[in-house]
Amino acid sequence: MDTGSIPGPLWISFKLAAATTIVLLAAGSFLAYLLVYRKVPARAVVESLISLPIVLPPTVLGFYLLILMGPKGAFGRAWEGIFDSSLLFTFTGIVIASVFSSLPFAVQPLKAAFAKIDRRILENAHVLGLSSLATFFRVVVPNSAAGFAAAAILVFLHTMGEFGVILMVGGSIPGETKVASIAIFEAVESLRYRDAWVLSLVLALVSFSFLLVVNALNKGEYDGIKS
Amino acid sequence: MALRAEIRKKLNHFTLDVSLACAGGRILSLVGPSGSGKTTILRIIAGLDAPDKGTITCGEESWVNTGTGTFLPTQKRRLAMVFQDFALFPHLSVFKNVCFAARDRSLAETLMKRFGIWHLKDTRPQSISGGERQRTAICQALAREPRVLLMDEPFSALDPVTRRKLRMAVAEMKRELEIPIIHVTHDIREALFLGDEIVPVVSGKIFHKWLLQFMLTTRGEGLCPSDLTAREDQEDIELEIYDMRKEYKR
Repeated sequence: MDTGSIPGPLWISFKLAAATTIVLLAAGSFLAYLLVYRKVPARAVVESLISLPIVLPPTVLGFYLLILMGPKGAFGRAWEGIFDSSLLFTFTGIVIASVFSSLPFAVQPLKAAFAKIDRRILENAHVLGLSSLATFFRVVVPNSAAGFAAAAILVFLHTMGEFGVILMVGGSIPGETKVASIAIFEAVESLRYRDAWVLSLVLALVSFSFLLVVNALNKGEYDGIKS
Repeated sequence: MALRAEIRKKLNHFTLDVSLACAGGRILSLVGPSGSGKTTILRIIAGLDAPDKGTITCGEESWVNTGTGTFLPTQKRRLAMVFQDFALFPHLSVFKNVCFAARDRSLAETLMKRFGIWHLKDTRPQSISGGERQRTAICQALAREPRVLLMDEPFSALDPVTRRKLRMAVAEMKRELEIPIIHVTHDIREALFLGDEIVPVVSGKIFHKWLLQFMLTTRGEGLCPSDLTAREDQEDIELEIYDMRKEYKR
């Protein structure tokens, strides 16, 4: 058994999941805040676009991202213009792809958590002198702790298991874009079943443990004061 | 410092059209049936809603002037509001709730001791009684040292004994504060007890303000049927006020 073929992809998967989670907790909470508390033009269109990665085949999303982030795509060209490097087949590229792919897993639980907060406590915060930003950090965030935890866990797990989108945008470059799920696929293709077993077991155990935490959080959810 | 408001706003079933003035150290009680626009008046004064037309001034400061496009954001009005359901922050202890907008933490402590909730300082609001939450909300509002205090049905969720105690506490507090207090209630007895001036609001309009003022200034004496000259559709309300007045006198 080539032990180097196991920790490497697992480490890339972990780094990718951690980076995606951090980016999406910030971007997802901003989008969820807009959708819950502000008037958003063409709301149905925006919400459908955000949820699209749930139903779209990963290869389809991966194909669009490949075009968009490629040297002829608007995003890829802009990136090259600023950083003088390509996005495709790089770790940064798969982080960006993964952010798009996992967006609904961050936005949906955060939206649900924000919508549960009694509007009057937000109004009270404004009356007591807090700006919208201060209200978000001092009132919305602490009252949405379960939503943030659920979003973080779902995004992390979804990214750990990401396959199609990563393969399309990042390929399978060892030490750069070869994540655990791709390593499992390659191990099976080359009949290295032992590697596939170990990697699959690690991913399954990680996913199961995190889902246990999500279920525990949902059970003891914090309701606040409602009249 | 006086608060003056002239407000016009089209609502679903009627147009709100009122003109109010409340001097510092006085309580103006807005009284009327549910859905008459009382809470909307408070929300507009607080800056949580905007009027279609009108002006609101606090002392020399203009908060709203639709003519000049002035709209001072809620956060800059330095007012406080006791919400009907108290709107306390569930993630904070009672003490942290009171300190939320306090300039001086020692004032928060003094207020809590005065209102008898200091022993609850480390408790979360969801673990205390309705009366204690109400006192917490009043302390939270006062700790901000507001220039105007707004109270929206502050006693409606309380049992009669607690309600009476807290009405007394607010009446005492009013003497010390030199700020305008606008108080909304559907309970005429409460308005009679607390208000220095009573403004009945029905379907968005002030009506027979003179009648209730008369009742207060004369302490219920000399109210003759000819004074009840409101329109026919207001007859039921007038009779209710008349009955309440008798009860209040008792």
